[in-house]
Amino acid sequence: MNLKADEILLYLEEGHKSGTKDPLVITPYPDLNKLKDSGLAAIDLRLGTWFVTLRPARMPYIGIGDSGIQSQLSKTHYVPFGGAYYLHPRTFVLGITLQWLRLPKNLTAFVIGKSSWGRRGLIIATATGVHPGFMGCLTLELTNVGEIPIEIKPGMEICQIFIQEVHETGAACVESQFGGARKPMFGEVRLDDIAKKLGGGKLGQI
Amino acid sequence: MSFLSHATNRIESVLASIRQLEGAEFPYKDSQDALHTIRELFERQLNDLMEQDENSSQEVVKEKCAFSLKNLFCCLPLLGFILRSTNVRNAFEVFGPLRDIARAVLEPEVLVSKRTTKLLLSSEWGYSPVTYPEISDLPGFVLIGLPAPESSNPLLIPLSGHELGHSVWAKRGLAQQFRTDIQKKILEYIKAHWTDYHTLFPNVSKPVDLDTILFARQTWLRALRWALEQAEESFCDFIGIKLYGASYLRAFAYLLSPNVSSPRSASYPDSMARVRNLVKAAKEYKFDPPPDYEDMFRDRPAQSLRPEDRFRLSAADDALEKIVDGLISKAGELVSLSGVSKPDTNEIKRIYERYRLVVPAEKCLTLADILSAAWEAYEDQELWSSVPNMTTDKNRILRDLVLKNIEIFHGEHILQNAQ
Repeated sequence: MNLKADEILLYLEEGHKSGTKDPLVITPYPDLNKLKDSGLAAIDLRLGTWFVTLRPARMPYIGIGDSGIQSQLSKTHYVPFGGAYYLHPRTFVLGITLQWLRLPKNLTAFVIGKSSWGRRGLIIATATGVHPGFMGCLTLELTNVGEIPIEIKPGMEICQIFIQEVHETGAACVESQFGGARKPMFGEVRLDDIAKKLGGGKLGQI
Repeated sequence: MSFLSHATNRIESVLASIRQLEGAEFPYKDSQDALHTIRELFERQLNDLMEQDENSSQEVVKEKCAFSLKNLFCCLPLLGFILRSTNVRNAFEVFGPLRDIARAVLEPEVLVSKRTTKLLLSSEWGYSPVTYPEISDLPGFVLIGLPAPESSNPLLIPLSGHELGHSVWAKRGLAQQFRTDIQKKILEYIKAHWTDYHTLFPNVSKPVDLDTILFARQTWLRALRWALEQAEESFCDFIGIKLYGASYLRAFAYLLSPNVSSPRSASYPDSMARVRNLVKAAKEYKFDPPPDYEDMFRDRPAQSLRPEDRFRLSAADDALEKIVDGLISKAGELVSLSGVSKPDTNEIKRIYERYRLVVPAEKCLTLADILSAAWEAYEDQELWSSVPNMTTDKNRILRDLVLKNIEIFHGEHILQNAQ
């Protein structure tokens, strides 16, 4: 069940008490007064300062298991507070949340765009799930599916995060390849054991 | 007049390169401003050369061409430095807080909103932090470059205090202030070791000639120069310690311990003397140096010097030792004047506790507190041992966590000023 703003608030306040071992943290701290009276079931997250774009001319295609994608196929950009990034129609860029998040073992979250941006053609996030135990900034996949370039600025509200309680079993948290990072990351796409056994992804191989 | 056409072609080439550099992605305007200033310098020189013709004095034209060549030699490394300031390997998050500190230390008498010092934060392909302290063509700019492989390592940011120290040394005319005292100490050393000196320099017959006869002065001027250079380097260390506390000592050890195996440079104090001075300054400023700090270092091999220079170097080393207290107190005084707060033990502990939870701290008071807490976390072998899956990539995560913390600190500062 989604937590409402006042419940999120309780978690955040608890997380700021010293001695809390497994807190929910969203920092920089959201505007608590705004949150308290909002009646919302989500918190707005802001856009960070780092962006990563693809350099299509550098590789013929993105292959499965290409570990060099971050360094060979991408270009990193930094936009300071006060600066702007222009997202042109049908372009794709990885952004990052300004906030650093920490989810305890008993909370999970999902990130979605804001409707006001969506109506202008800006699609914010596609991989929306955030697992219990995640720590770091969230990579955002930004695409302009509209017809007109869009200006985005670090520090602006870009997406929202819904938080849910999960039954805490004491099992280890999932290891995220994106955890503990301040810059957008591609991560790796790998074949798992079943996919490998099914032919290593090679078409027609029996 | 082929040398004139060579000179104009050289400048046109560098201007073409500058125009290309102007297309780089500049994260901060300060780097762009520096590039613009250098472009104007070369445009003025080009115009000046273009005005020369067959009626111009050949000697004047040669002098102008030589001057423009000298500028090329000076400015080309600087252009590389500016270009590297745009590289995303740099920790851009520290730019704002570092510039605030530079402005406070260099312009303490100016209202915060009126301070104008600009910062070029870059990286170097040399394994030592670098500055270009006296660039007359770039007045008002502080240049700080960390070694490229470490340029996103916040743990080394305290070393920027040393580089800032060079700008303070130049701006405050401290070489002039300390020169008389250092000279006095060198002459005292020579008089105290007169037999050795006289054996090496038999033409100087009596101590009274040392400061009155030109050729006698020339025997020790190099010692004075070395002592002044050592004094500047030591002063810069003390600025770093006063600004960043023990984290400066830790960063220094990270970069330079146990020593560089090549022979020592006469421009720096001997390794162990330098380390002893770091510890002395830390204690003077009421910071606890890391335990067994001196044991982390050893002396560099001796330089192969002529006997005369060995004597001069001993005189320079001795002079430094005698004025080091004055340097410590001058650095302390100038940082205190700047209003930059010293690291606070309670704040460091509070921030470190947040790092143990793998989260940045909010409402930090100084950059020094953040960096000191970062060092505490880095040196804590047990850090995150109870957090699942976090120990394998500890250093990378800690770097990102600390840089995010610095970004939050800077953002809070901007918001505070906007109110």
